[in-house]
Amino acid sequence: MAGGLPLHALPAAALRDRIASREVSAEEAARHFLDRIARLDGGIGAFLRVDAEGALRSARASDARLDAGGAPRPLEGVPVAVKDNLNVEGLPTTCASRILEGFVAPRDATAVARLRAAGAVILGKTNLDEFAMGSSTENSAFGPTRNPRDPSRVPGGSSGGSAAAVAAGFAPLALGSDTGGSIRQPAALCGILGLKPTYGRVSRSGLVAFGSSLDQVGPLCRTAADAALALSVIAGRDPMDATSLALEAPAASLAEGGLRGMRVGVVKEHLEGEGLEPAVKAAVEAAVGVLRAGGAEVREVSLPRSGDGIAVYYLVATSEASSNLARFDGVRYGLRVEGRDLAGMYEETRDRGFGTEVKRRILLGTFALSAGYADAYYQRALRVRRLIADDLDRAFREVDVLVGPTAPTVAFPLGEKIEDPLAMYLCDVFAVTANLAGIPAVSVPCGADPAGLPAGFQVMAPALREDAALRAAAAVEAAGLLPAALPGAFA
Amino acid sequence: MPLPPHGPDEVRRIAALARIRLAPGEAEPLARDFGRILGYVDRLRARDEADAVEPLVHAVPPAEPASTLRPDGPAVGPAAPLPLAQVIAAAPDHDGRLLRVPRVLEEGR
Amino acid sequence: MSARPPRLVVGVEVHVQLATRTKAFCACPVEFGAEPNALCCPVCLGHPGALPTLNRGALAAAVRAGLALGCAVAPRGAVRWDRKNYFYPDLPKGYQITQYDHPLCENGALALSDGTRVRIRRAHLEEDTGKSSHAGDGETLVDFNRCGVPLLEIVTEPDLGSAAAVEEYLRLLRDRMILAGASSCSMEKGEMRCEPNVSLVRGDGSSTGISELKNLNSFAAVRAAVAFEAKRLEEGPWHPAGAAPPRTTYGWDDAGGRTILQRTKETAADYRYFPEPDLPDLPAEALAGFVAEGRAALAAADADRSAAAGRARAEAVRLGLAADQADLLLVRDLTGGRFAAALAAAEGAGAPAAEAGPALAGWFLGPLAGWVNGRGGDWAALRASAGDLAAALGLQRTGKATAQVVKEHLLAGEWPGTGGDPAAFLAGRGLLGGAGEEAVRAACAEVVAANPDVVAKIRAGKTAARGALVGQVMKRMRGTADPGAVNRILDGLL
Repeated sequence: MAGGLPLHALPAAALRDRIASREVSAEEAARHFLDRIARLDGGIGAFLRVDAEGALRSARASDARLDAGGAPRPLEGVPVAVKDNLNVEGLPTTCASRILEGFVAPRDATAVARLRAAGAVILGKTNLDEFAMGSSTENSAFGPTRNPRDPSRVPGGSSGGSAAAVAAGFAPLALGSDTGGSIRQPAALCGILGLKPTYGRVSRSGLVAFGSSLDQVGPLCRTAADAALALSVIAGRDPMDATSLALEAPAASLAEGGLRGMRVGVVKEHLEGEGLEPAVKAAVEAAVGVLRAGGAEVREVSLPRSGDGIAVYYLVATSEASSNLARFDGVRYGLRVEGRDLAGMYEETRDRGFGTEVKRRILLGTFALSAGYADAYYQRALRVRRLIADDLDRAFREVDVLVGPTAPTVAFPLGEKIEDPLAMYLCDVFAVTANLAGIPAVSVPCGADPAGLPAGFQVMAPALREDAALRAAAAVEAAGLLPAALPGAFA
Repeated sequence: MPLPPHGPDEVRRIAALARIRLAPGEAEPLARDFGRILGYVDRLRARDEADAVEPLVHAVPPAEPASTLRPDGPAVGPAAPLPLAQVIAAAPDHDGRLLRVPRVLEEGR
Repeated sequence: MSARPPRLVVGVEVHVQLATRTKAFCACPVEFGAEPNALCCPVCLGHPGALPTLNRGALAAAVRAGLALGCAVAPRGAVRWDRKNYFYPDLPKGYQITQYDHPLCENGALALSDGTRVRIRRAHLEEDTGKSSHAGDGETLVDFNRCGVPLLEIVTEPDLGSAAAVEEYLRLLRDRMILAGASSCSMEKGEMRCEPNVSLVRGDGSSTGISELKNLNSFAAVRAAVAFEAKRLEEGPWHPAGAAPPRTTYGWDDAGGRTILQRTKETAADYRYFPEPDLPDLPAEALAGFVAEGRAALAAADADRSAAAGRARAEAVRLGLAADQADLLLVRDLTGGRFAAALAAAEGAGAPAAEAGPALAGWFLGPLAGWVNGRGGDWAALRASAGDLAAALGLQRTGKATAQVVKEHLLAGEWPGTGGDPAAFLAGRGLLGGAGEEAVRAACAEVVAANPDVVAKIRAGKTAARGALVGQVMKRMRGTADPGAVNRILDGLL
């Protein structure tokens, strides 16, 4: 194979350049990835649906465009996997739930439409925790996804299918969604890079809502440069989403520029938090060392109320979710289970359609909004949310980025936390801060524990400063702290 | 400000509000989960300084909110209406052009 | 017992449909009577992933409406959107986007003709639901075309004290909405839905429960329902001052002329209102442009109306109309231009203005108004054209049809709903051409023969009794006889 590395080991930008220069055709590239998925995904379960026909059709369209002398687009021929809570026209959107049985998306999500317009080839839909509610991708109605680094362990979640797909070399780039760490935590556990952009940077139109004030679409990939490239394609104002910000999409060169003059704050509470595994802590400290050696000015910063993040997050996200998931009622689309009357139909449909964790969160959110409790729970959470955002504003007057671990642990064995919702919620204790404040955050691999399980380094930046987060991540990435080794089949 | 206990009856009341059916025996373990989760989030009640600030919903509001408004014009592209056949085909049940559900009994909004 | 009767206390909640081309939060067209479910998209059907975007036109219309009611716009510094959560098959998302504690407009008022100031507590923008119809066999059918259509909910303080005041307020409200170009307020099309809350309060502060009246499809129904309920509530039960009176929903049975118990609200529904995360708040600054444009539009509409009133006054003099007739027909133009059109057609056909004006005014404010009110109060139901009405006037003027025939058989029956040549209509029923001299003579002879006692009285000098004979002759002739001829012939016979 030309150029040394096999196609599936290339970053998206490098693969795109090979296709653009006609070293390899888009169809060959698509067939390469489809073939790997067909051979290897049985043991991983990253995909819920592979659209080989659609992928080959759009790859051939890329080749035809290039044959005709057309200018190559930013993601010309690059295969992309899409989390199955984003609509892809003509394919089912399941959200890994039975309640959407039979629903076929009539239109593309805006992020998906923009990928297509940039020449990307949509391979298929990836597994997730049902309605993105979970941190292990075990809460899928269609079975769990496994971590390519160690298939006895979880890939993290909820974008576990997308993270596993990139880690296993099934796609160089995937879309995920991040409500409280759902891009960054699986990226950390699978040893890849994940970016949650600023709230409003990427349109949420066509993303099935979980916590509407927290949800953001973002890329999972191997390099900071790929994340910048993907962001430059999917970002920008969308008339279909009133919360999307009226800004030009950032340039694809966003991750370039190095560390010169960058002030880095290490979040004290994130490095001292209970439950942080020593190996993760050591890896994070190594990454901080890389930044310092690279010329950044490093100091310790305190976010005194970051310990409240999970409590605030679980009240806000579940409250919004209880309302967002009311539309799944068996009337207009999806599953219907008949009952004795209308109320019976609603209850039977929602009982059979939703899994345990989804029901638990709908109930928690319904409770937090209900008469007599809303002030003590929902409203209270929103007030503390403001305090947390204010803490970040203050911190960002002193530093350009805030860093720490993405998640407290490396990938854990399947089944370990599934019976203990609170323990599962605490996987996102460091990640939720960025969602509550709406700021961008990246997870980049920063090493591994003695068993070779990856640890993630989180870089948060002020709103709209994805460039700073990605530049810091690029420096950590360049240090090569995570051994590349994957189990034989995935090499 | 003490709050009432969150027992199985409370869970059942909330479940009815959310149109979630609970099988016999399902309310009790959920009440236990609730107890633990709400016990954990009760830490927020100790944040007295929260009383002095406004709730935060929109973390990154648009710089010009009026620019998010949509012109009152005809639908185009992804905003266009769906073909009637597509609406009907997606529905679990229909009668001609109307969608069918079990009879709505006296239960108001 | 205290002699003072209890006082009637009424507040009104009105939903008016804002006049826009597209829905409130998606770009689907707003059309009445379209094919069911043909005007729906992923947003208004509540598809997964669909997001609302606010219609600028709906916001502008709502602001104009608020200004026309004397409201302050965004008095809390910002306008916010909230979700009202409940399950119902015609509510696709499981919540309605509405406004809870930061409404668009607050603190307005309208003054009634007797000086009563009706305070308007708030007016907020929200989306309509779909339409459910209940089929016979245990099922409900849903059409989502109406779902997402913009509504303005206008809530008064309980400042209304009679059924007539309620009706006057509603007519005034409709007039302001039309002036503001905010809504056409056709009750027949459901563009204006009124829900009065009725209770009685006694001098000692004790009160009845509050009756919320629904399904009122015309002003006449509103008036009748409020009057009926006020009477019914006199029986109590009475609740002491300071206690929160229970609220009960009643529907209105128009045919039976009575209210019907729908349900008692034992506990307030738990709607779990919370701020809509999908729509940014609109600070007052962002609305300043809408307010400025709204004020300018209202000022222009007022100026137009003043000019129209000046023209109407001159026209009233030319036509010899009474002041109240001119006000209703020419200034407020409650027939939507139909009077003026019919007049123009009649003048075009040769009728002098001083004759056609009063005659047509009498028709429009008499039999035709009654006919329209019997059909929901919408003049669009009137299908008889200006030319048809001018032709009818021509029949009357030329003596081909008597005034009585025109009034009773043409303007009060089915003809206004169909229109067409009035001569043909009446001829088909044997009512045209006036009765011939011989037929009248025969009818008079029959009546005289059949009423010897009356004839005896008249001959004895009780001439007033003759009216009874004239009436009988007219009845026998179904109004087709010329009253002058009847009198002349009777004189001869007696």
